[in-house]
Amino acid sequence: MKAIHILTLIELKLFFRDLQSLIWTFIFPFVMIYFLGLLFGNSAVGEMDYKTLLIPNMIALCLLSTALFTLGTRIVSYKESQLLKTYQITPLHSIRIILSFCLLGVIISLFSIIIACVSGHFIYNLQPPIYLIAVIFSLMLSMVTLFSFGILVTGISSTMQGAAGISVLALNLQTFLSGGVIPYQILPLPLKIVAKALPLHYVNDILTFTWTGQSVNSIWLNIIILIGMAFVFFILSIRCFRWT
Amino acid sequence: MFQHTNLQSKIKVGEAIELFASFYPRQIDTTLALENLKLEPFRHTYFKNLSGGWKQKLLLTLATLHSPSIVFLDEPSTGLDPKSRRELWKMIVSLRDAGTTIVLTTHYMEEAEQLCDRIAIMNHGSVVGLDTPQKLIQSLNKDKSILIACKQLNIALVQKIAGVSRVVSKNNLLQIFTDTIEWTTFELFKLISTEGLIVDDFRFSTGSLDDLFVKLPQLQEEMML
Repeated sequence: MKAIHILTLIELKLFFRDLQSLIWTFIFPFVMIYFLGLLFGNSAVGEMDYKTLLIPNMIALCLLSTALFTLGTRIVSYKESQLLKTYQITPLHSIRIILSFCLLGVIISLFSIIIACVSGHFIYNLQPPIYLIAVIFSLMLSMVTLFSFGILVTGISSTMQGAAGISVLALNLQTFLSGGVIPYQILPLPLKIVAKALPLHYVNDILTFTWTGQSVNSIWLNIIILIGMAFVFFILSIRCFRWT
Repeated sequence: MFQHTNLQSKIKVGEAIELFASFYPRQIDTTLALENLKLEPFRHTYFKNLSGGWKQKLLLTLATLHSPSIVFLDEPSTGLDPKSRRELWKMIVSLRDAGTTIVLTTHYMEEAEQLCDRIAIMNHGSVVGLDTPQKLIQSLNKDKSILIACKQLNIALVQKIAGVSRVVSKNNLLQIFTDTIEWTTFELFKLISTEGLIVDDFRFSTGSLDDLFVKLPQLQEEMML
Protein backbone atom coordinates (compact mmCIF):
# COMPACT_ATOMS: atom_id res chain seq x y z
CA MET A 1 0.00 0.00 0.00
CA LYS A 2 2.87 2.35 0.85
CA ALA A 3 4.30 2.04 -2.68
CA ILE A 4 0.89 2.76 -4.28
CA HIS A 5 0.36 5.73 -2.00
CA ILE A 6 3.77 7.33 -2.66
CA LEU A 7 3.76 6.53 -6.39
CA THR A 8 0.32 8.15 -6.73
CA LEU A 9 1.39 11.17 -4.69
CA ILE A 10 4.56 11.71 -6.73
CA GLU A 11 2.76 11.19 -10.04
CA LEU A 12 0.19 13.76 -8.91
CA LYS A 13 2.97 16.24 -8.13
CA LEU A 14 4.51 15.56 -11.55
CA PHE A 15 1.10 16.11 -13.15
CA PHE A 16 0.79 19.52 -11.49
CA ARG A 17 4.31 20.44 -12.68
CA ASP A 18 3.29 19.84 -16.31
CA LEU A 19 1.61 22.94 -17.73
CA GLN A 20 0.12 21.17 -20.76
CA SER A 21 -1.63 18.56 -18.61
CA LEU A 22 -2.98 21.28 -16.34
CA ILE A 23 -4.40 23.30 -19.23
CA TRP A 24 -5.97 20.19 -20.75
CA THR A 25 -7.56 19.13 -17.45
CA PHE A 26 -8.85 22.50 -16.31
CA ILE A 27 -9.69 24.33 -19.53
CA PHE A 28 -11.07 21.48 -21.68
CA PRO A 29 -14.28 20.78 -19.64
CA PHE A 30 -15.08 24.47 -19.33
CA VAL A 31 -14.55 25.23 -23.04
CA MET A 32 -16.51 22.17 -24.19
CA ILE A 33 -19.47 22.89 -21.87
CA TYR A 34 -19.55 26.50 -23.02
CA PHE A 35 -19.41 25.80 -26.77
CA LEU A 36 -21.61 22.71 -26.88
CA GLY A 37 -24.21 24.54 -24.78
CA LEU A 38 -23.98 27.53 -27.09
CA LEU A 39 -24.31 25.45 -30.27
CA PHE A 40 -26.91 22.86 -29.28
CA GLY A 41 -28.34 24.36 -26.07
CA ASN A 42 -31.85 24.83 -27.46
CA SER A 43 -32.18 21.40 -29.05
CA ALA A 44 -33.60 18.23 -27.54
CA VAL A 45 -32.51 14.56 -27.55
CA GLY A 46 -35.68 12.48 -27.48
CA GLU A 47 -37.70 13.86 -24.61
CA MET A 48 -34.62 15.30 -22.92
CA ASP A 49 -33.33 18.84 -23.09
CA TYR A 50 -29.80 18.73 -24.61
CA LYS A 51 -28.39 20.94 -21.83
CA THR A 52 -29.42 18.41 -19.20
CA LEU A 53 -27.20 15.82 -20.86
CA LEU A 54 -24.29 18.21 -21.27
CA ILE A 55 -22.53 17.50 -17.95
CA PRO A 56 -22.75 13.67 -17.93
CA ASN A 57 -21.60 13.55 -21.56
CA MET A 58 -18.76 15.92 -20.81
CA ILE A 59 -17.70 13.86 -17.78
CA ALA A 60 -17.63 10.72 -19.94
CA LEU A 61 -15.39 12.49 -22.47
CA CYS A 62 -13.09 13.83 -19.71
CA LEU A 63 -12.73 10.33 -18.25
CA LEU A 64 -11.79 8.91 -21.63
CA SER A 65 -9.29 11.67 -22.44
CA THR A 66 -7.71 11.28 -18.98
CA ALA A 67 -7.48 7.51 -19.54
CA LEU A 68 -5.82 7.86 -22.94
CA PHE A 69 -3.73 11.02 -22.73
CA THR A 70 -2.84 11.31 -19.06
CA LEU A 71 -2.60 7.71 -17.91
CA GLY A 72 -1.95 5.51 -20.96
CA THR A 73 0.40 7.85 -22.79
CA ARG A 74 2.32 8.58 -19.60
CA ILE A 75 2.94 4.89 -18.96
CA VAL A 76 4.15 4.48 -22.56
CA SER A 77 6.51 7.45 -22.14
CA TYR A 78 7.95 5.71 -19.07
CA LYS A 79 8.35 2.56 -21.12
CA GLU A 80 10.12 4.48 -23.88
CA SER A 81 12.49 6.23 -21.48
CA GLN A 82 13.28 2.87 -19.81
CA LEU A 83 11.95 4.05 -16.45
CA LEU A 84 9.68 1.00 -16.30
CA LYS A 85 12.75 -1.19 -16.86
CA THR A 86 14.26 0.46 -13.78
CA TYR A 87 11.05 -0.15 -11.81
CA GLN A 88 11.13 -3.76 -12.98
CA ILE A 89 14.31 -4.53 -11.01
CA THR A 90 12.60 -3.42 -7.79
CA PRO A 91 9.89 -5.46 -6.04
CA LEU A 92 7.22 -3.14 -7.55
CA HIS A 93 4.56 -5.29 -9.27
CA SER A 94 2.79 -4.12 -12.43
CA ILE A 95 -0.59 -4.30 -10.66
CA ARG A 96 0.63 -1.64 -8.21
CA ILE A 97 1.62 0.65 -11.09
CA ILE A 98 -1.80 0.22 -12.73
CA LEU A 99 -3.67 0.75 -9.45
CA SER A 100 -1.60 3.79 -8.69
CA PHE A 101 -2.27 5.29 -12.13
CA CYS A 102 -6.00 4.51 -11.79
CA LEU A 103 -5.96 6.33 -8.45
CA LEU A 104 -4.19 9.24 -10.12
CA GLY A 105 -6.89 9.22 -12.82
CA VAL A 106 -9.63 9.34 -10.16
CA ILE A 107 -8.08 12.41 -8.53
CA ILE A 108 -7.51 14.23 -11.85
CA SER A 109 -11.03 13.34 -13.03
CA LEU A 110 -12.50 14.76 -9.83
CA PHE A 111 -11.02 18.13 -10.80
CA SER A 112 -12.56 17.83 -14.29
CA ILE A 113 -15.95 16.82 -12.85
CA ILE A 114 -15.98 19.72 -10.41
CA ILE A 115 -15.05 22.16 -13.20
CA ALA A 116 -17.72 20.70 -15.51
CA CYS A 117 -20.39 20.99 -12.78
CA VAL A 118 -19.42 24.50 -11.71
CA SER A 119 -19.20 25.70 -15.36
CA GLY A 120 -22.58 24.13 -16.20
CA HIS A 121 -24.20 25.65 -13.13
CA PHE A 122 -22.89 29.18 -13.63
CA ILE A 123 -23.21 29.38 -17.44
CA TYR A 124 -26.45 27.45 -18.05
CA ASN A 125 -27.89 27.08 -14.55
CA LEU A 126 -27.62 23.28 -14.74
CA GLN A 127 -28.60 21.47 -11.55
CA PRO A 128 -26.53 18.83 -9.68
CA PRO A 129 -27.78 15.20 -9.72
CA ILE A 130 -30.52 14.08 -7.32
CA TYR A 131 -29.36 10.51 -6.66
CA LEU A 132 -25.75 11.12 -5.65
CA ILE A 133 -24.94 7.54 -4.60
CA ALA A 134 -26.10 6.18 -7.97
CA VAL A 135 -23.93 8.79 -9.71
CA ILE A 136 -20.89 7.88 -7.57
CA PHE A 137 -21.38 4.18 -8.37
CA SER A 138 -21.67 4.87 -12.10
CA LEU A 139 -18.62 7.17 -11.98
CA MET A 140 -16.53 4.51 -10.24
CA LEU A 141 -17.58 1.84 -12.72
CA SER A 142 -16.89 4.19 -15.64
CA MET A 143 -13.47 5.11 -14.28
CA VAL A 144 -12.34 1.50 -13.79
CA THR A 145 -13.54 0.62 -17.30
CA LEU A 146 -12.10 3.59 -19.15
CA PHE A 147 -8.81 3.84 -17.23
CA SER A 148 -7.95 0.19 -17.73
CA PHE A 149 -9.11 0.50 -21.38
CA GLY A 150 -6.80 3.53 -21.87
CA ILE A 151 -3.81 1.75 -20.32
CA LEU A 152 -4.52 -1.38 -22.36
CA VAL A 153 -4.88 0.18 -25.82
CA THR A 154 -2.03 2.70 -25.52
CA GLY A 155 0.17 -0.10 -24.12
CA ILE A 156 0.10 -1.73 -27.57
CA SER A 157 2.61 0.92 -28.62
CA SER A 158 6.13 1.15 -27.27
CA THR A 159 6.64 4.77 -28.35
CA MET A 160 5.00 8.04 -27.37
CA GLN A 161 4.17 8.82 -30.99
CA GLY A 162 2.39 5.52 -31.41
CA ALA A 163 0.50 5.96 -28.13
CA ALA A 164 -0.56 9.49 -29.13
CA GLY A 165 -1.86 8.14 -32.46
CA ILE A 166 -3.83 5.37 -30.75
CA SER A 167 -5.23 7.87 -28.24
CA VAL A 168 -6.42 10.32 -30.91
CA LEU A 169 -8.06 7.50 -32.87
CA ALA A 170 -9.72 5.94 -29.81
CA LEU A 171 -10.95 9.31 -28.51
CA ASN A 172 -12.39 10.57 -31.81
CA LEU A 173 -13.99 7.29 -32.76
CA GLN A 174 -15.71 6.95 -29.40
CA THR A 175 -16.64 10.62 -29.16
CA PHE A 176 -18.63 10.45 -32.39
CA LEU A 177 -20.09 7.00 -31.89
CA SER A 178 -20.91 7.06 -28.19
CA GLY A 179 -24.02 9.20 -28.56
CA GLY A 180 -22.54 12.03 -26.55
CA VAL A 181 -22.08 14.39 -29.49
CA ILE A 182 -24.21 12.84 -32.24
CA PRO A 183 -27.40 11.14 -30.98
CA TYR A 184 -27.05 7.34 -31.17
CA GLN A 185 -30.54 6.99 -32.70
CA ILE A 186 -29.57 8.80 -35.91
CA LEU A 187 -26.45 6.68 -36.59
CA PRO A 188 -26.64 4.19 -39.51
CA LEU A 189 -26.86 0.51 -38.53
CA PRO A 190 -23.18 -0.46 -39.16
CA LEU A 191 -22.01 2.42 -36.96
CA LYS A 192 -24.55 1.47 -34.31
CA ILE A 193 -22.96 -1.98 -34.19
CA VAL A 194 -19.46 -0.49 -33.88
CA ALA A 195 -20.70 1.91 -31.17
CA LYS A 196 -22.06 -1.04 -29.17
CA ALA A 197 -18.54 -2.51 -29.02
CA LEU A 198 -17.05 0.65 -27.48
CA PRO A 199 -17.03 1.31 -23.72
CA LEU A 200 -17.87 5.02 -23.98
CA HIS A 201 -21.32 4.16 -25.35
CA TYR A 202 -22.20 2.33 -22.11
CA VAL A 203 -20.44 4.90 -19.92
CA ASN A 204 -22.55 7.62 -21.55
CA ASP A 205 -25.74 5.66 -20.93
CA ILE A 206 -25.10 4.90 -17.27
CA LEU A 207 -23.86 8.42 -16.48
CA THR A 208 -26.75 10.08 -18.31
CA PHE A 209 -29.41 7.93 -16.64
CA THR A 210 -28.05 8.28 -13.12
CA TRP A 211 -27.22 11.99 -13.50
CA THR A 212 -30.67 12.90 -14.76
CA GLY A 213 -32.37 10.77 -12.12
CA GLN A 214 -33.96 8.30 -14.59
CA SER A 215 -34.60 4.69 -13.64
CA VAL A 216 -31.73 2.41 -14.68
CA ASN A 217 -34.12 -0.56 -15.12
CA SER A 218 -34.25 0.05 -18.86
CA ILE A 219 -30.43 -0.09 -19.21
CA TRP A 220 -29.67 -3.00 -16.87
CA LEU A 221 -28.13 -4.96 -19.75
CA ASN A 222 -25.82 -2.03 -20.55
CA ILE A 223 -24.72 -1.92 -16.90
CA ILE A 224 -23.91 -5.64 -16.94
CA ILE A 225 -21.95 -5.21 -20.19
CA LEU A 226 -20.04 -2.30 -18.64
CA ILE A 227 -19.21 -4.35 -15.52
CA GLY A 228 -18.01 -7.15 -17.83
CA MET A 229 -15.89 -4.68 -19.81
CA ALA A 230 -14.40 -3.24 -16.60
CA PHE A 231 -13.41 -6.73 -15.47
CA VAL A 232 -11.96 -7.79 -18.84
CA PHE A 233 -10.07 -4.53 -19.46
CA PHE A 234 -8.61 -4.50 -15.92
CA ILE A 235 -7.39 -8.10 -16.16
CA LEU A 236 -6.04 -7.57 -19.69
CA SER A 237 -4.28 -4.33 -18.75
CA ILE A 238 -2.37 -6.27 -16.06
CA ARG A 239 -1.75 -9.34 -18.22
CA CYS A 240 -0.63 -7.30 -21.25
CA PHE A 241 1.49 -4.85 -19.26
CA ARG A 242 4.98 -4.65 -20.79
CA TRP A 243 7.95 -3.21 -18.93
CA THR A 244 10.02 -2.70 -22.08
CA MET B 1 21.42 -0.21 -13.14
CA PHE B 2 21.22 0.19 -16.90
CA GLN B 3 23.32 2.20 -19.32
CA HIS B 4 20.48 4.54 -20.38
CA THR B 5 18.38 4.59 -17.23
CA ASN B 6 16.13 7.60 -16.87
CA LEU B 7 13.84 9.02 -14.25
CA GLN B 8 10.95 11.44 -14.72
CA SER B 9 12.53 14.76 -15.78
CA LYS B 10 10.65 16.80 -13.16
CA ILE B 11 11.04 14.46 -10.21
CA LYS B 12 13.14 15.90 -7.39
CA VAL B 13 16.11 14.00 -5.96
CA GLY B 14 14.46 13.65 -2.53
CA GLU B 15 11.22 12.42 -4.12
CA ALA B 16 13.04 9.83 -6.23
CA ILE B 17 14.75 8.40 -3.15
CA GLU B 18 11.48 8.40 -1.18
CA LEU B 19 9.70 6.69 -4.11
CA PHE B 20 12.24 3.92 -4.60
CA ALA B 21 12.53 3.37 -0.84
CA SER B 22 8.77 2.73 -0.74
CA PHE B 23 9.12 -0.18 -3.19
CA TYR B 24 10.98 -2.31 -0.62
CA PRO B 25 9.26 -4.02 2.29
CA ARG B 26 11.83 -3.03 4.91
CA GLN B 27 12.18 0.49 6.32
CA ILE B 28 14.90 2.54 4.55
CA ASP B 29 16.37 5.70 6.05
CA THR B 30 16.16 8.09 3.07
CA THR B 31 17.84 10.96 4.93
CA LEU B 32 20.85 8.76 5.62
CA ALA B 33 21.00 7.72 1.95
CA LEU B 34 21.01 11.39 0.91
CA GLU B 35 23.69 12.31 3.44
CA ASN B 36 25.96 9.33 2.74
CA LEU B 37 26.25 10.20 -0.91
CA LYS B 38 26.37 13.97 -0.41
CA LEU B 39 23.08 14.32 -2.28
CA GLU B 40 21.48 16.43 0.47
CA PRO B 41 22.16 19.81 -1.30
CA PHE B 42 20.34 18.43 -4.36
CA ARG B 43 17.27 17.19 -2.44
CA HIS B 44 14.97 19.74 -4.15
CA THR B 45 16.69 19.66 -7.56
CA TYR B 46 14.84 18.27 -10.58
CA PHE B 47 16.43 15.16 -12.11
CA LYS B 48 16.69 16.93 -15.50
CA ASN B 49 18.81 19.70 -13.92
CA LEU B 50 21.46 17.32 -12.51
CA SER B 51 24.77 16.85 -14.34
CA GLY B 52 25.45 13.48 -16.00
CA GLY B 53 27.69 12.44 -13.11
CA TRP B 54 25.15 13.30 -10.43
CA LYS B 55 22.40 11.55 -12.38
CA GLN B 56 24.46 8.34 -12.41
CA LYS B 57 25.28 8.74 -8.71
CA LEU B 58 21.60 9.15 -7.90
CA LEU B 59 20.70 6.11 -10.00
CA LEU B 60 23.37 4.05 -8.26
CA THR B 61 22.00 5.24 -4.91
CA LEU B 62 18.48 4.16 -5.96
CA ALA B 63 19.77 0.77 -7.12
CA THR B 64 21.48 0.15 -3.78
CA LEU B 65 18.97 1.67 -1.33
CA HIS B 66 18.00 -1.75 -0.02
CA SER B 67 21.68 -2.78 0.54
CA PRO B 68 21.70 -5.63 -1.97
CA SER B 69 24.37 -8.32 -1.72
CA ILE B 70 24.91 -8.21 -5.51
CA VAL B 71 24.59 -5.30 -7.95
CA PHE B 72 24.65 -5.45 -11.77
CA LEU B 73 25.96 -2.29 -13.41
CA ASP B 74 25.62 -2.00 -17.19
CA GLU B 75 28.21 0.49 -18.50
CA PRO B 76 27.56 2.94 -15.67
CA SER B 77 30.10 5.56 -16.73
CA THR B 78 29.23 5.79 -20.44
CA GLY B 79 29.07 9.42 -21.53
CA LEU B 80 30.54 10.85 -18.33
CA ASP B 81 33.42 13.33 -18.20
CA PRO B 82 36.65 12.09 -16.52
CA LYS B 83 35.92 13.89 -13.22
CA SER B 84 32.39 12.51 -12.91
CA ARG B 85 33.66 9.08 -13.93
CA ARG B 86 36.23 9.08 -11.14
CA GLU B 87 33.60 10.19 -8.62
CA LEU B 88 31.34 7.36 -9.72
CA TRP B 89 34.25 4.94 -9.39
CA LYS B 90 34.73 6.09 -5.79
CA MET B 91 31.09 5.19 -5.07
CA ILE B 92 31.49 1.79 -6.70
CA VAL B 93 34.71 1.10 -4.75
CA SER B 94 33.05 2.09 -1.47
CA LEU B 95 30.18 -0.29 -2.26
CA ARG B 96 32.67 -3.05 -3.01
CA ASP B 97 34.58 -2.31 0.21
CA ALA B 98 31.31 -2.56 2.13
CA GLY B 99 31.00 -6.16 0.93
CA THR B 100 28.70 -5.79 -2.08
CA THR B 101 29.44 -8.06 -5.04
CA ILE B 102 29.47 -5.95 -8.18
CA VAL B 103 29.09 -7.32 -11.69
CA LEU B 104 30.07 -4.52 -14.04
CA THR B 105 30.01 -4.53 -17.82
CA THR B 106 32.18 -1.94 -19.54
CA HIS B 107 33.99 -1.12 -22.73
CA TYR B 108 36.47 1.06 -20.84
CA MET B 109 39.49 -1.10 -20.04
CA GLU B 110 40.81 1.54 -17.64
CA GLU B 111 37.56 1.24 -15.70
CA ALA B 112 37.84 -2.54 -15.56
CA GLU B 113 41.47 -2.32 -14.43
CA GLN B 114 40.67 0.25 -11.72
CA LEU B 115 37.54 -1.37 -10.28
CA CYS B 116 37.57 -5.09 -10.87
CA ASP B 117 39.05 -7.88 -8.80
CA ARG B 118 38.37 -10.32 -11.62
CA ILE B 119 37.74 -9.66 -15.28
CA ALA B 120 36.00 -11.81 -17.88
CA ILE B 121 36.65 -10.76 -21.47
CA MET B 122 33.85 -11.75 -23.81
CA ASN B 123 33.96 -12.16 -27.56
CA HIS B 124 30.79 -13.04 -29.50
CA GLY B 125 29.15 -14.43 -26.36
CA SER B 126 32.10 -16.56 -25.27
CA VAL B 127 34.47 -15.91 -22.39
CA VAL B 128 37.96 -15.62 -23.93
CA GLY B 129 39.80 -14.57 -20.77
CA LEU B 130 39.06 -14.77 -17.04
CA ASP B 131 41.44 -13.75 -14.26
CA THR B 132 42.66 -10.83 -12.15
CA PRO B 133 43.66 -7.77 -14.22
CA GLN B 134 47.38 -8.24 -13.38
CA LYS B 135 47.44 -11.92 -14.31
CA LEU B 136 45.55 -11.31 -17.54
CA ILE B 137 48.06 -8.67 -18.59
CA GLN B 138 51.02 -10.82 -17.54
CA SER B 139 49.65 -13.79 -19.47
CA LEU B 140 49.59 -11.74 -22.63
CA ASN B 141 52.78 -9.77 -22.38
CA LYS B 142 55.53 -12.31 -22.11
CA ASP B 143 57.52 -9.97 -24.34
CA LYS B 144 58.07 -6.95 -22.09
CA SER B 145 59.17 -3.58 -23.45
CA ILE B 146 60.91 -0.35 -22.50
CA LEU B 147 59.72 3.04 -23.67
CA ILE B 148 62.38 5.75 -23.92
CA ALA B 149 62.52 9.28 -25.35
CA CYS B 150 66.13 10.15 -26.17
CA LYS B 151 66.68 12.13 -29.39
CA GLN B 152 70.26 11.15 -30.31
CA LEU B 153 69.99 7.47 -29.34
CA ASN B 154 71.29 5.28 -32.17
CA ILE B 155 68.75 2.52 -32.95
CA ALA B 156 71.43 0.28 -34.50
CA LEU B 157 73.39 0.32 -31.22
CA VAL B 158 70.26 -0.43 -29.20
CA GLN B 159 69.44 -3.44 -31.37
CA LYS B 160 72.87 -4.90 -30.55
CA ILE B 161 72.08 -5.04 -26.78
CA ALA B 162 71.70 -8.61 -25.57
CA GLY B 163 68.07 -9.76 -25.22
CA VAL B 164 66.57 -7.08 -27.48
CA SER B 165 64.23 -8.68 -30.02
CA ARG B 166 63.03 -5.57 -31.89
CA VAL B 167 62.91 -1.76 -31.66
CA VAL B 168 59.96 0.31 -32.83
CA SER B 169 60.07 4.09 -33.21
CA LYS B 170 56.84 5.98 -32.69
CA ASN B 171 56.07 9.61 -31.75
CA ASN B 172 59.62 10.47 -30.56
CA LEU B 173 59.53 7.32 -28.40
CA LEU B 174 61.54 4.15 -28.91
CA GLN B 175 59.80 0.96 -27.83
CA ILE B 176 62.41 -1.69 -27.10
CA PHE B 177 61.10 -5.28 -26.85
CA THR B 178 63.21 -7.63 -24.75
CA ASP B 179 63.00 -10.90 -22.85
CA THR B 180 65.60 -9.76 -20.23
CA ILE B 181 64.23 -6.40 -19.18
CA GLU B 182 66.65 -5.80 -16.25
CA TRP B 183 69.77 -6.55 -18.30
CA THR B 184 68.59 -4.50 -21.29
CA THR B 185 67.78 -1.51 -19.02
CA PHE B 186 71.23 -1.70 -17.44
CA GLU B 187 72.97 -1.91 -20.85
CA LEU B 188 70.78 0.86 -22.29
CA PHE B 189 71.65 3.35 -19.54
CA LYS B 190 75.31 2.36 -19.80
CA LEU B 191 75.14 3.25 -23.51
CA ILE B 192 73.37 6.58 -22.81
CA SER B 193 75.95 7.46 -20.15
CA THR B 194 78.87 6.61 -22.45
CA GLU B 195 77.42 8.67 -25.31
CA GLY B 196 76.51 11.55 -22.93
CA LEU B 197 72.86 11.70 -24.09
CA ILE B 198 69.84 13.32 -22.41
CA VAL B 199 66.77 11.20 -21.54
CA ASP B 200 63.43 13.05 -21.76
CA ASP B 201 61.18 10.15 -20.78
CA PHE B 202 61.59 6.56 -19.63
CA ARG B 203 59.11 3.87 -18.53
CA PHE B 204 58.49 0.14 -18.57
CA SER B 205 55.56 -1.05 -20.63
CA THR B 206 53.89 -4.18 -19.38
CA GLY B 207 50.96 -3.83 -21.78
CA SER B 208 47.41 -2.91 -20.90
CA LEU B 209 43.96 -4.42 -20.86
CA ASP B 210 43.33 -2.51 -24.07
CA ASP B 211 46.03 -4.57 -25.79
CA LEU B 212 44.63 -7.69 -24.21
CA PHE B 213 41.10 -6.87 -25.35
CA VAL B 214 42.34 -6.61 -28.92
CA LYS B 215 44.68 -9.61 -28.85
CA LEU B 216 42.76 -12.25 -26.87
CA PRO B 217 40.01 -12.93 -29.41
CA GLN B 218 42.68 -13.16 -32.13
CA LEU B 219 44.64 -15.68 -30.07
CA GLN B 220 41.48 -17.73 -29.49
CA GLU B 221 40.74 -17.81 -33.22
CA GLU B 222 44.32 -18.88 -33.97
CA MET B 223 44.05 -21.68 -31.41
CA MET B 224 40.80 -22.88 -32.99
CA LEU B 225 42.42 -22.96 -36.42
